[in-house]
Amino acid sequence: MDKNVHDIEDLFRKTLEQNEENPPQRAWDRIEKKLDKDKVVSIKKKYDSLKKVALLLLFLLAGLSIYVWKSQNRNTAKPDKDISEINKDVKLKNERLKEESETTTLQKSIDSLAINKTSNPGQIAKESHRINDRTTFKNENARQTKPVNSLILKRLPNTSINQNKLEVKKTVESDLSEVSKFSSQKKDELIKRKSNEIVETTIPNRIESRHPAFISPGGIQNVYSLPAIATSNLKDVREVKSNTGDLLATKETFHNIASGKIDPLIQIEKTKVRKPSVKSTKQPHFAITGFYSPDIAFYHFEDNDPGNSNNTNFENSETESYSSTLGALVDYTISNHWGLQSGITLATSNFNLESETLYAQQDNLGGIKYKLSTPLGDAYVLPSFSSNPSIGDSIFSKSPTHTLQYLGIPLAVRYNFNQGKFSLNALGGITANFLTRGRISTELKSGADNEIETTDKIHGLKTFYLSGLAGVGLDYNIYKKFSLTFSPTFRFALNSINNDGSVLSYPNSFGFAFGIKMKL
Amino acid sequence: MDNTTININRTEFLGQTKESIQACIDGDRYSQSKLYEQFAPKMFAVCMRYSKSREEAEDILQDGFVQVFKSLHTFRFAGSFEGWIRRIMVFVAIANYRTKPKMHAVVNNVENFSGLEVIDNTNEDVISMLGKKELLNIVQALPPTYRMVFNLYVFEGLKHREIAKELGITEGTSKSNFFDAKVILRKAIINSMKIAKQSSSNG
Repeated sequence: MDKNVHDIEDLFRKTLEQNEENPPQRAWDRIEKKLDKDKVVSIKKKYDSLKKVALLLLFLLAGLSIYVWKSQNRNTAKPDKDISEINKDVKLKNERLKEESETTTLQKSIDSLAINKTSNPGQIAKESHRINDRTTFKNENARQTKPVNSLILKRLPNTSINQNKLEVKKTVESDLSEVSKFSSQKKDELIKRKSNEIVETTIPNRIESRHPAFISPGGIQNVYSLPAIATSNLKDVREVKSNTGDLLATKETFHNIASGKIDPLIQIEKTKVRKPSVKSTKQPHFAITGFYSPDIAFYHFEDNDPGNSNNTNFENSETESYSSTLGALVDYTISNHWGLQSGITLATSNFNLESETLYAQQDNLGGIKYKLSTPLGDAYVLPSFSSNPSIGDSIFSKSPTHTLQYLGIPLAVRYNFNQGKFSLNALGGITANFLTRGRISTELKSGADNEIETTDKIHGLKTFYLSGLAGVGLDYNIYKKFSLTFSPTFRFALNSINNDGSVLSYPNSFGFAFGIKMKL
Repeated sequence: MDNTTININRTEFLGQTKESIQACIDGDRYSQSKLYEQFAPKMFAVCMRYSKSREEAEDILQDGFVQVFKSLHTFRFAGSFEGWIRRIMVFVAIANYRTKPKMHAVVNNVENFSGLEVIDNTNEDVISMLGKKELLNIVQALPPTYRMVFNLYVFEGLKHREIAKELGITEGTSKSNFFDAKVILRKAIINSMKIAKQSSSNG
């Protein structure tokens, strides 16, 4: 009977193995239609990969743009030192001008008093007292205000209102001191009335016409609004100077403003004033971080051999044993928020595979060995107790494992939020990974014989691949230069780690890195 | 695998020029049709063995060739091109089998193997009397799982463990189905030969 059974297998093999039969023409027509449809899909897939590349380039471009922008800002901030020097010069000039002005005013007052010296000696004494008071007040005021402001206050026509008002107040007060019978209420009313009278007569027409806001609804200048306007805008005048460089730093310019030829308010509106950016005194610096990260690693598989239905089995049969990453990262701070990160990492992953029977096949060198298929590629093993197998011989492989180790060089852009001792950051970038070790190990069993076989030759495993990284991090400053870091990071392969075998493997991992950062 | 086999494979794939395969990868429809014409008859015969009807075989052939053209870029020129295409056809056939609802085969008198008549004729006699087409019909008439197990074991050379893995059955079931398939085939051959003898004696 056995003979007959064997005959049946042989009968069908011989008869049908080399059989040929022409398919109907419609079969090709249907294939063509299907190919036309799939062509559209493949184009879409092609553009999908282009989109990924474009996104990556966009990301890098954005990082570069921010870097360049920050660099330019740093360069434009340099004139700040020049401006401060100019300010010093202007301050000195202001002091000289002020002294000259005071001297001139006093001299004029003394001269005018000298003319009436003989006619009204009492008034001379009062005027001298009043001038002394005013000089004292001005000197005090000059000490309190900024040099440029004080100069403009003195020169601007509208600021003379303040001085006149003070003069009036002084005059009225001195008059009232002689008339002690007046009540304090009457005294205030008199001061107010006198002030208004003088203000009305001293408001320059030019400013009125240019600044309607200066005029109250009744057509009378509101004296209480002037100091606020003058003060707030005078601050801006200094900014105009900063932005126009030497233009306003010259003596002539101050004279022009003082004489009304240039209206500083108009000038401010014309020149779009941009406050010089307040640059941090914190200079760009480096920091180095040593870290260790236990990882949760997993693979994404892409079918590389559609005819092999074993491909999907890897996802189920492969289990992670232990994976980790350690390394040193260097942070370069570009600005308060932005920074670059690079360094060196060493990532190790260990995976277990399901036990299975291996079959002897011819390897790439022509020898007959037992073939172990893994998601990384195929490996061939040959135990000493079965060193000369025939094709088709089998052996049991117990708990095979594979280990990969990559040296990585990351380049990432980091964005920081500082909050007290804490610093929260988000980062994204790419890593160039160089294979330093790829090893498959298994225990081979055949009957009573067993042996542990290890091989570093994995066919199709590439020595380099790129991966992306994205993550967040938290730093806690424990000392002046040291901080603790915790950074959950997701790493994902951008291309496969193998180029042969039934599947293309893309390693991914979640890492929970913790370490110590030292600012250099 | 001896050196002769390796040389044959190399010659074969050198004959199938890289240029024509590259043209197929690039989507050149003429090259694709030429490749189809070259391999379709052999592949259609394979598909016929794995299917119960000509229409089902056409479906497998169509899906198989579409898969071939889509996956051509993965061919490494490291082995037989025909073997590579054939593997795709077989696994498309397996995928086709998996998509269909599984029904347990109910076959009468399978266990009555010892009761079968002994075939005295040689294989050559059977082939001359029945012909390839008749034998193909007998295989197609097998229940789906039996047909798959029989084909994978006899024509693809897979082990029962591998067959079990492919079809999602146990290794024992694979062995049992294979044994039953052979009983059915033997019985069918005997019946067909009887009919052939009767028709020849009548004629």
